[in-house]
Amino acid sequence: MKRVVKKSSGWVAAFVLSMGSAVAAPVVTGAWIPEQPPGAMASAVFLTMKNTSDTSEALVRAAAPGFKEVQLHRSIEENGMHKMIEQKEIVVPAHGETRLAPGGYHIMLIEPTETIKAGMTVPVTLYFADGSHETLTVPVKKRSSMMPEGGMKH
Amino acid sequence: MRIVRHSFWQRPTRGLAVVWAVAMVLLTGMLAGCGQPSVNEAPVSSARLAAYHSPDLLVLRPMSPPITVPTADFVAQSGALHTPTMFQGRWTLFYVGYSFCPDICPTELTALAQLMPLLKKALPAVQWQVVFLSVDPERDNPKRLAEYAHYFDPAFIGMTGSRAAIDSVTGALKAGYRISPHAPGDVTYEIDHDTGYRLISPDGKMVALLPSPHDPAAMTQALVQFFKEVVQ
Repeated sequence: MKRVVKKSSGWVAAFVLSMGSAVAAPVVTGAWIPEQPPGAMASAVFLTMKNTSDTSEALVRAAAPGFKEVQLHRSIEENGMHKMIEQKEIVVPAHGETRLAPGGYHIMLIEPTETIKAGMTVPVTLYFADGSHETLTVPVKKRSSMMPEGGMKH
Repeated sequence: MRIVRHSFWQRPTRGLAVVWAVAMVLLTGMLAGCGQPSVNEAPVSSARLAAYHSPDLLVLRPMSPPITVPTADFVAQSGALHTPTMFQGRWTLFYVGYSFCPDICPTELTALAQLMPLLKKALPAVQWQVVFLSVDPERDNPKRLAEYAHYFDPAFIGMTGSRAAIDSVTGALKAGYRISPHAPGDVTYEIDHDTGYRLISPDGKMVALLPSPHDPAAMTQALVQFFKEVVQ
């Protein structure tokens, strides 16, 4: 599934490049939202952004209908303490990639108007520093299906 | 005549067999119940805990001397719960967090849900319980917490309590947390919090810390070793 998504995104990248477009927005792959317990007030969007251009790019804002607020965040761990820090932007270095993944960067979805369940999709719009934006149809998946039993590697 | 002799010999044999079986059952019961307290009841030996060298401190850190969980009152959907009596008769993995947490708490509770079947298989005599203590009673009521915890595993206990009760237990167990400053009425504030799982013995003592990142297979191996050398 993941590979298919990546492949198709690769085609999108090739298409954009072949167009000779000036848009240097990162190529986004593998986006998913973990299903949250009933009544949960917050969820997250995880994805990978790849920058094929010579200049660094940044995700500066995200929006999703059906949520009171959408923020950019980073989970960090210091001395056994978990902290969540709101981010002004999430940088994608030139010819590099940035992963939004459990235990790290994420797009935080706050106060859903209805419980989001696995199998649903959420339209998420990403706004980049170069002024471009992209709307993704992001699937909601069970967290356990995306977390191998080998655990998180920090 | 033959039949009579036959029955004469058989009866006492049967009787003896019954007596023997009953004696064995009683003996087994005594060994399990009285002579040797079960793994789910025995207090942990401080000496064995002090002597234990964990093969990987990044997975399991023994707590020597152990920390006694203070007396405090909490509330879950099932009703009132009290430390340390709620730890009796089982082994507990204790985790602090809050349900508004979008990333780390669900990740850690998913890892705990993956760990439980591995532990039940590797240590079948041990009774386990997972307790998720919310340090956010302003937003987390017992019903919400139960829904949240049961989503990961229906056996998980979600509880919270007064600020004083929370601070008494988290303070003693050195499970720090910090609520971000927020305006009254703001319901989107964040809480920094400790990410370790705390292992609590049936006599209500924290005997080990399992720090993150939490790898279910590595934790199972570490706990099997710990039980072998410290508990059983």
